Amino acid sequence: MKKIIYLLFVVTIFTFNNSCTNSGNKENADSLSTSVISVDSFLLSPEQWANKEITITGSVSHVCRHSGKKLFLFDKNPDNTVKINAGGQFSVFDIALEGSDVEVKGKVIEDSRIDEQYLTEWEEEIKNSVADEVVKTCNADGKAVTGQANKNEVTAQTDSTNDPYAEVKEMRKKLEESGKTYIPIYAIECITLKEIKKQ
Amino acid sequence: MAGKGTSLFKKWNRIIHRDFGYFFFGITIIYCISGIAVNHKKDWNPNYNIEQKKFVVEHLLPREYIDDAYIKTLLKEIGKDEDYKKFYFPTDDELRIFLKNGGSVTVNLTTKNGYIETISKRALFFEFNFLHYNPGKWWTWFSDIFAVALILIAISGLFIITQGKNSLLRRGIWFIIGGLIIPILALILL
Repeated sequence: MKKIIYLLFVVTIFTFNNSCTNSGNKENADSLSTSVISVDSFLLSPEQWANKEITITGSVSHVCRHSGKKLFLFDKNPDNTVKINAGGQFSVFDIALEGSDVEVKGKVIEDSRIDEQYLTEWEEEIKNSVADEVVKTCNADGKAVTGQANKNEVTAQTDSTNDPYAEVKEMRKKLEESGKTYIPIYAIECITLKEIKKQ
Repeated sequence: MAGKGTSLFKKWNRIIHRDFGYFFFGITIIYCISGIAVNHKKDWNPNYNIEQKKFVVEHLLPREYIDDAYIKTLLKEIGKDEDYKKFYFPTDDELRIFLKNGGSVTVNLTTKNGYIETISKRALFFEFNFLHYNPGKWWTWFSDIFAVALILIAISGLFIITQGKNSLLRRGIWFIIGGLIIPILALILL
């Protein structure tokens, strides 16, 4: 009898918690349609959305193959991408989302900082990947960072196919020009995500 | 009285160690297998089988002429006669087509070389990793309970043998120290 009561107690806790989370998700889904912005609009001034909840639309260019913990959205310009971190109803993203148009509601967070240490590590990664002739780092991640840092500006005509360090050099230049110790890079913590089906 | 207390402690210690061990056996195996899989994610993809098949496009149109009709023709030409979601140009000389059934086709517009990427979930590993990455909701609670249970299993394991040469204070203590030295060394050396 004691065993049965104990098991019922455990099951009740699980069920209660599950029902609470589900109702939370439903509320989130209901409020999804408020003020939707595109990736390109977001990238115009991502800092203005910092720590705020937004709804953003775009096409999924890449889902992290190893963890599924992040995906990248683009709009008209594929060079400009925004990183969406898994969260809310998604602990991981399905790789099948690649190529889909989606609407994501989430909280804008400062995801990383481009500082001297970041650039040095980036150089080291490129050095190793060039040596191995295999790029093991997530290219989409780097693209999201450089795309955001280069917002509204014409990128210098650097031939990245010949110089693997071109983007790092560009970033270092921007960091120096900014006069700050770092450039913040924003991402979005996913709360809800829904696929926009074509008509 | 002290003997009765010790006996009661031994009895419950064994019960906890045995029954928690039984109950959490399955999830321990799941977490361990997933742990090994994810530990080596630099060397392999623990979630997906990703295969790339190379091809060369015979009739490639210039970028400005590439449209839906051409994409369908191209897919037919390379033997992927299926619907697609979207195509776009990630770079000036690259075309990427996302297929409806998963996977993608990438073509270099300069060299005409391309590859078809097909993706399939790794059986069991995908599901195990999904759980390991914490799918949220009530799983967070369950995995917390599991973690506490592992602590209890570890502590109760120390007191299963209380006397003799294999007891905690004779043989066990040296193994505990040995096991602790490894993470301490890692903290110092790594």
